[in-house]
Amino acid sequence: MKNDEVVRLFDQYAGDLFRFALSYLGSKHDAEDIVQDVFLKLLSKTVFLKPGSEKAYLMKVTANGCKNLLKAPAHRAGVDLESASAELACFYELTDGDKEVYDSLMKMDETLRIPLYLHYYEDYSYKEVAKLLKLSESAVAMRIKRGKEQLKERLERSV
Amino acid sequence: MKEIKTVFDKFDLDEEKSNEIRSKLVSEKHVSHVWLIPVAAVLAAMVMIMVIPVTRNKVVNAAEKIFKYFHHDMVDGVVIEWGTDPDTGEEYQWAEYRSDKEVELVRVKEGRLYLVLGDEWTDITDKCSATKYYRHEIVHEDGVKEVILIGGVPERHKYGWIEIIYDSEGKTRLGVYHIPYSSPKQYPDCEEEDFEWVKPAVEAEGQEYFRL
Repeated sequence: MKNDEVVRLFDQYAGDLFRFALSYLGSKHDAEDIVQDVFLKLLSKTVFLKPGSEKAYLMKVTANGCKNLLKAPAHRAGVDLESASAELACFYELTDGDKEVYDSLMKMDETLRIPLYLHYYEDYSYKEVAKLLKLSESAVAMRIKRGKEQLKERLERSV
Repeated sequence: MKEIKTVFDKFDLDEEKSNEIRSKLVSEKHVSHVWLIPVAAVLAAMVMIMVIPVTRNKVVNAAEKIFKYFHHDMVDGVVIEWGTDPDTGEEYQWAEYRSDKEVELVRVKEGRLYLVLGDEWTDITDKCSATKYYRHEIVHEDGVKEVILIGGVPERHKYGWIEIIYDSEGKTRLGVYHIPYSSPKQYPDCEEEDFEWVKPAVEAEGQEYFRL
């Protein structure tokens, strides 16, 4: 893909991919690296993206990048969520309430957290989430339901 | 769940990092190793996609009805569709390189060159060289034919392959080059003489050879 086309996609979708990667990984630096990687790789690909499918394609590549990073031996020890969250709170000037929501979400298992994020932040339908995460729609519905309950419970506990 | 929206709305790629990535994207060399031929067909397909996507849907729907619509996952990850509008006779074609379907059709293992189709590994080392190529043909049930041409030696940037897809009437629909030389800037360690097999291979298929 040509540089100017990749730059156009970057300008349009980098923020969305960054937030998605952040919801996956919990670390600002890792999320930035994934975003960089996604777009640099596009330069070495010949990809014709249908109008309207660009974001879905980039989200899928980002999800794959996040999954691979989580599987990498160097990453398996896990991110220090406490310090990653403190850094985010400081950088983005989060309120205590925001930080509680973020921490509660990030403490959840990713199998619940990611569908929850895609549905409630990205406004993706169950069908779209299922396609992106390669799950059945019923599995997505179940995970979102459980995730929602779990997040509510965690937030109530933290009050 | 509006809390999730409230929190994540505050996050964005920071300006410094954004500028850093952006400048890399501007300055980094475009190193695509996949080229599509015939260029005219691809460009026409892209124009259809970019300019009149609604027509595409209309054509697909109409074409599905009369079974004049083809969809093929080519063996190296290119997805191609073509069809004919039964009302206007207008042909439509669309091709997309899908990295999620990407496969390494040709692989080097222990100094040998293999054609890899699913679980089947065919050692083609002795059939290929800088001037010799190996031809493999797959004919699908609907008459669509895929031809794979492989040449070179099992060393980095010294082998490559071309895949050409023909419809049931023998018309060339798309060709995909996986030849790691294009310009000295992109692949400085690539020598054109390592790919002497490309021109005769393409011409033997009745295709016009061109250098990208």
